[in-house]
Amino acid sequence: MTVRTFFLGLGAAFGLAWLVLLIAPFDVLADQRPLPYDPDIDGKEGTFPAGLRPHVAEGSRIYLQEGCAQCHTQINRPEYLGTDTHLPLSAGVDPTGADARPTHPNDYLQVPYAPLGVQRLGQDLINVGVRHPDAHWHFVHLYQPQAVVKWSIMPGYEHLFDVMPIQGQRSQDALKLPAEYAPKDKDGNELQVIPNARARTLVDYLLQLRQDESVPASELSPAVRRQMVKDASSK
Amino acid sequence: MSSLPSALSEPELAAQRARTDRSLRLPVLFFFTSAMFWLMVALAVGFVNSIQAFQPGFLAPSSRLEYPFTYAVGQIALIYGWGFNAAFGLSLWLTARMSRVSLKLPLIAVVGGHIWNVAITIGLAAILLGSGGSGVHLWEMPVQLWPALLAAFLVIASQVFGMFFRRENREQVYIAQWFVLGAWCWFIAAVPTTFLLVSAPRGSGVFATLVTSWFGDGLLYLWFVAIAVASILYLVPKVSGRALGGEKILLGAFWGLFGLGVWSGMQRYLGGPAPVKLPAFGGAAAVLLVVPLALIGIVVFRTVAARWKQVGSSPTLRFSIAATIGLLVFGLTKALVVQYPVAALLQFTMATTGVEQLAIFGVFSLAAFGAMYFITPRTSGCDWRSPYLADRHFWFNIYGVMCLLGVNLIGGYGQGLAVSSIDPSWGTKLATNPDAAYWFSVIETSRAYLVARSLSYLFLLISNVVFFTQIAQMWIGKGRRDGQAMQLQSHAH
Repeated sequence: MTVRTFFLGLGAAFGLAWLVLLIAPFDVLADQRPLPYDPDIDGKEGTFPAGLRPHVAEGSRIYLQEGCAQCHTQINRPEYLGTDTHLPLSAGVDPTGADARPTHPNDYLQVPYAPLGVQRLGQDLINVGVRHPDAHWHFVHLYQPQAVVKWSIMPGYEHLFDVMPIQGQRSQDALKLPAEYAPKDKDGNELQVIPNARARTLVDYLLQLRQDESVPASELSPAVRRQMVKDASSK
Repeated sequence: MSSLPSALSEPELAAQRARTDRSLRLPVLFFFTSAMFWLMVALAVGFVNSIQAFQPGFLAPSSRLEYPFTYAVGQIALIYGWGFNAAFGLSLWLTARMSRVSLKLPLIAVVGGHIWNVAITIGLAAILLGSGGSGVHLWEMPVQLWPALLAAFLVIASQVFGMFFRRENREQVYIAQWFVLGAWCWFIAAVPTTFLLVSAPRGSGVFATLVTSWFGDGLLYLWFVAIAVASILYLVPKVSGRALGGEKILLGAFWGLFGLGVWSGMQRYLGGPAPVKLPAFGGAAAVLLVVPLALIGIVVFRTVAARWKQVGSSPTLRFSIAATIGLLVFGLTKALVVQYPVAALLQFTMATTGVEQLAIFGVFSLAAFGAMYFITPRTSGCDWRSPYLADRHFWFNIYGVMCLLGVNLIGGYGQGLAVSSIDPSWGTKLATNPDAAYWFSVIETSRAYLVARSLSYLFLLISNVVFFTQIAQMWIGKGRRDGQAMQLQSHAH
């Protein structure tokens, strides 16, 4: 093989893969936008997703930086690849109902990098906002996971919280921790634990992880779509 | 092809080789020292991290030293610290030897190496001190550091390509040289592409994720595996004294590896929220890649078939052959985990990361150790002190790699089964206690395997501490100087 053949061959091999895998899909996926529902088939108006959610881009960045994606996925795979959509903790919504569905690109519309995850040492979080709609639960869980789930193997994220003495009244934002997890100073006085700005943005993001909007019929397989049209016309 | 025709006589060729080795002394020792340092860091941190996976708080005085951060630090130290530094040293030495030229300006490669190592150190500090990492698998360092890393890479690349274009024999090129050059070309093309597509302001988040998983597989197949294959294809005939047959087969394997490897990666998110064809291309490529890897294996085994005794006594051959076996196992497991019924269970479990670790520990590292046993005496001027320790180094590595692969595959299977078991009563339990014992069963299933994974790291750590003490003695001039090449006892195991 000559040097010329090597460089031309490598250029062609890389070029073809670059074109098909990277350049062409980039343009297609970059144009993602909210998808309209068809009132006649979907039975509702509006778009999927319904609207922009606050702090999602920043929250997802913190989620990644704090390493959440190393243990948690955010993905519901279709039925041919397992039982995700029927799992109570992945589906989050009624696992036996029609709301349980595989994830769709529009579920990640606002995030610059979709944190689909590496492995499931912890539970899938695509619907954690449905399972745990209470921000305080998330703050306590982030600060000391074992305070809410005794057997959890998740590490605490103390660096996302300020621990300070109680001067006068306890801050309204201070966490209500079980006595055995509440930090104390060296004299045994209880300290208050207050989430910092990163923790608040992260929890805002977690609360918005909810895959509870249905996918428009236009995005479903032709067979499912035909069935929906049939159902709609028989009503 | 074991050697290219030359106008020089054998003594003149030997003198030329000695000149080449001397010219590489500084950069090769620099890159191997850096690589060993990072490997120690990666294994020590990896060991702690593997315990933190089931015992949060282990050796973590601050929450910044907990699992997510030690995981990122371990990954970076392993891949960009150990893997790249070792590959830099190997590529420079292999190219110089195969081109039969000396490295004219060794300091340039060392400067590139310093920039690379400083960038990695800054990356680790950013992750540990200030949440500056990207958190993206295999792309964890802050995005701003990638231009510096690419610049450092290009500085070193200028030396590799420079030697190749000055090669003595302009007509013929060793097959191993194409694998080295292909790997370097891939990295130069892939880093800017990934950087631009991940940072593009109008890009899609899902697509950015797919691109980094594509980059991750490229790292495995087209960087680590390619450099390992180059080392094996050069050293196996050299040490065994038998010509490497089947040059056309190897050329086919080269085009197969590079033509298909560049399509692999997006299958990590099989069933994910992406156009189906993208993971499908990756899955098909992973299956087809078994062919070039098998062809390489066949040629290597045919070469050493008549010299099995030598494989037992030469550390270079032992490690190279073990790496070739690792290569075949890696190809097969990668092809296996993309099959739908298997992926349904193993995707997002320990098994997926286990296969990645196999490429690093079971293919690249073994090939790199084999090469280091050959290269270090020739560049440091003295030989390995203890065949016994070299033997231990080999076997503890093999125990570690086998344990890691077995634990990750079986553990991943158990984890996948536990995750996918459905209890019909959950519909009602969900309302009152959404986190109850459902996930507890998954953790309990994984725990034993997570403990065993720590043991694998312990084997690898012990093995490489032993190697480090041996190689450090040579760097400070305390190696053997009796001129006899080290022979291992083949009946040791």
